[in-house]
Formats: sequence, structure tokens, C-alpha cells
Amino acid sequence: MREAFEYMIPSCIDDAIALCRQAGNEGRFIAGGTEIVPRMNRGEITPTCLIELSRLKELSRLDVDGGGLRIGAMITHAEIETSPVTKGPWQALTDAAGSIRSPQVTNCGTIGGNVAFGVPSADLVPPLLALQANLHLKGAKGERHLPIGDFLIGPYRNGLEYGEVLIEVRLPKTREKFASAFCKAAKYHGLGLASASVTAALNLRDGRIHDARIVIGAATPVPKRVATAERFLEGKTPDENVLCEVGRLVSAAAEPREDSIRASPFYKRRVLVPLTERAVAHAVTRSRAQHDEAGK
Amino acid sequence: MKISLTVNGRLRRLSVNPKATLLTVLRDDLDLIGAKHGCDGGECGACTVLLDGRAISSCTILAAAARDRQILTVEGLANNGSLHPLQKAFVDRGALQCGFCAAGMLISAKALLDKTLTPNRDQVKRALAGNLCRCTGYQGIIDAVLDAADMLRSEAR
Repeated sequence: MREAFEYMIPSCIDDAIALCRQAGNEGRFIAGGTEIVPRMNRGEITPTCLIELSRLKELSRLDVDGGGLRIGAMITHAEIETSPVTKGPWQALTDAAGSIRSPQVTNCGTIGGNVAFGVPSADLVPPLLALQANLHLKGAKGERHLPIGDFLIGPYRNGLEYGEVLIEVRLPKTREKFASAFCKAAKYHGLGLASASVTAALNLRDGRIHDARIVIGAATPVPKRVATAERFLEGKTPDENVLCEVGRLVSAAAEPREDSIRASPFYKRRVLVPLTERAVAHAVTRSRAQHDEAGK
Repeated sequence: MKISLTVNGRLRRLSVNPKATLLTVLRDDLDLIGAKHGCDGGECGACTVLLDGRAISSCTILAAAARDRQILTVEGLANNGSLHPLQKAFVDRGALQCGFCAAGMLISAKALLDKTLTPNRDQVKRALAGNLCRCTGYQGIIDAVLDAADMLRSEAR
């Protein structure tokens, strides 16, 4: 067992990138530590160099900029849940951050870790996909912006290159009255790791749904938009029959693993129906509430 | 790696293995064995401590990452030998059987009561959602936290 181990605390992004490069293939960036440290404890990963990101100030911002939202990679789930700026059209993200079971995790775990680690059940990723997030990345080769849909490749696999830092997540400006909601099924009164989740984002105009985006989480290899459901919802009035049908479409698009741990494939498919109905209904209610707010 | 930690109000300067978790440093280097070594994965809450006032699992954070910060362990709850109202309430309610989860439960409850002295039952459950008790003593624990909130409210009056 190799004993040499370094813990580095760079104070700017370029230093962090350079340090990771110097560490060869054994360097790792560390944010909240809630994934990396348990894996080190279990001996599943044995990095020889950890590079702490807490001093990089670009990773700690959380603000509205030009109508869009910018969330630094070091922002914790607890900060997202309680911040006044993550509400409104982005409420699904707040729902997801608030659905993580323990305060011990939400106080440490970060949005950057949730995105970069690629855990299939990561709760923040489905809302980010529905809200069309862009990731701002920087590595030795320079900076780039990547839509999150292009970033997700497979379980624990994504577009992050070795030595690349996720700086921030940007949510684009949304159309007026846009609203979103996230619903998940999990143990511990819905607060455990997701068995399945559905995120709905939409715009209600004159009582009809427009621009709907529906995302399945934890019941597909990576969070996935359901094009059939999105097309079906366009122009529809959200009545009971419409909610029923969209639930069926989402359920049909699931690809649960045969050996999935937290729930059987059968259960996942079944539970996606009410989750979808609920998520769409919540998003509709929220969009309507924004109309009411604007009408005052 | 040399670090400083303020633990239960006392500044401690230490030389730590950079791979060591805060939990192992508290237990092995500082002999503070209140926080328990349970799952080592942030699942069970037995190792919960306050870091700058927020409940965290000390097994999922490296001691190096906790440098220069304020840590409260269960040993820091009592004041000059007199038990904290939470501890009194746990005793009165018999809110523990084997006791393995108790230190973490007390600290998670402390984080809640530092925020509000008027929690309802659901808020208590939510605050303790990251702490598992294998003797299934949850009802007694929740009752004890509500009692402690009562005690602290009447002290504040």
C-alpha cells in the first residue's frame, strides 16, 4: 500500500488544475467529501493526492445573473434548499435538495459533487436536465460550457475530463410563468436515496401546458428526458385524463436495471405513474400561482 | 499535516495524517470517544458533530478539511459537570437503550434547538432523519427533544 499522500489547498482555479495535472492519474478534487471520503474509508478508491476546492471563490457564488441562475459548484444542498434565489421557476431544484435525507449530508454535500460524481440516483441532476443547465468547466486545455444533457454518459460516467474542474452550473433565463417540480419515491418518508423520481417543468398559458420538460431520475441509467410525454403535453389542459396518460408515457420510457437495489423494476415502473401525475400537477399549480402573483 | 481545530471551545494544534477523517482524529488523537464509529459512510449518524454550528458526519470529512473551524462533540454539551437539558431529557425519558446512537442524536438535536426552541414533532423527526437507532427508541428520543425544547424555553424566560 502506497503511503505517500498529499492534501492540497489551492487558492485559485489554475493552481488547482496544475496540481491535479502534477498528480498524474491519482489526483482528485474534493468538495464536500460525502462521496469521496466514504469510498476512501472502504478502500474503494486510493487517491494519492486530494485537491480541496473550498478556497476557489468562483465556486461559491449563488446569484441571479441576467435572469438566469448561477450556482457555484461548492454550493451545498442546504444552501440551495434555503436560498431565496433558487425558488420561482427553479423550484424543482429546491425540492430535490430538500429531499435528501440527512442534514449531515445536505450540510456538506455540494451541487458540484452531485453532478460530477455521476451517481445514478443523484437527486439534483434530473431538475438540472429539466431546467436546461449548462456546466462551466475548466481544465488544462481551457474553459468550456456543456449542456448537462451532453455531459451525462452513463452511471458514474460523464463528460468531465481528468483534471477538469466544474466551476458552476448555469440555469438559463426562463419564460414568464415557467414553473417546475420534483417528486421522488424513497424510504424514510421520501427522504432516502431515490427509488425513482420525476421532474416536470412547464409553462401554463391560458390554461394550457406549453414547453413541458419531463425527466425521469433513478429509473434509467442516467436521468433522461421523455420526449413522448413532452410532445403529448403540448397544448393540453391539465385534467385528470391528461395526467393519467402522461404518467403512462413516462412509465413506458423507464429503463430500470433488472438487479436494481432500492426497488424492483416492476415497482419503479409502477411508481413513476403517480410521481409523474404529482410532479406535473405541482408544476401546473406553481405556474398558475405565478400568474396570480403577476396579476396582483 | 499540521492543523488547528477548536474542539468544545478549546484550541487544539495537531499533526494529523491527511487521510484521517475528523472522526478518527477526535477519537484516536483527542480521546473524545463520544462520537461513534458506526458505518464509516455517512449513513448512520453515530459520528455526528457540529462543525461551525451545523450537524455533519465526522466520518465523511477529513480532519484536514475541518481545519481552523469550530467543532462541538457530545463531550462539550454539559456545562461544568451539569448536564445539558437535552441530556437530562434523554435520561428522564429513557431515550436510549444501548446508547450507541445517543451522542449523534444529541448533537443533531442540538443543531435543531440552536435554530428553534419551538420545534414540532415533524421538525424533530426531520432533524434526526440522518441518525439511526437500532434499538428502535425513536419515540422516546423525539419526546426527549421536545421536552428539552420546553426546558430551554422556560430557562430563557
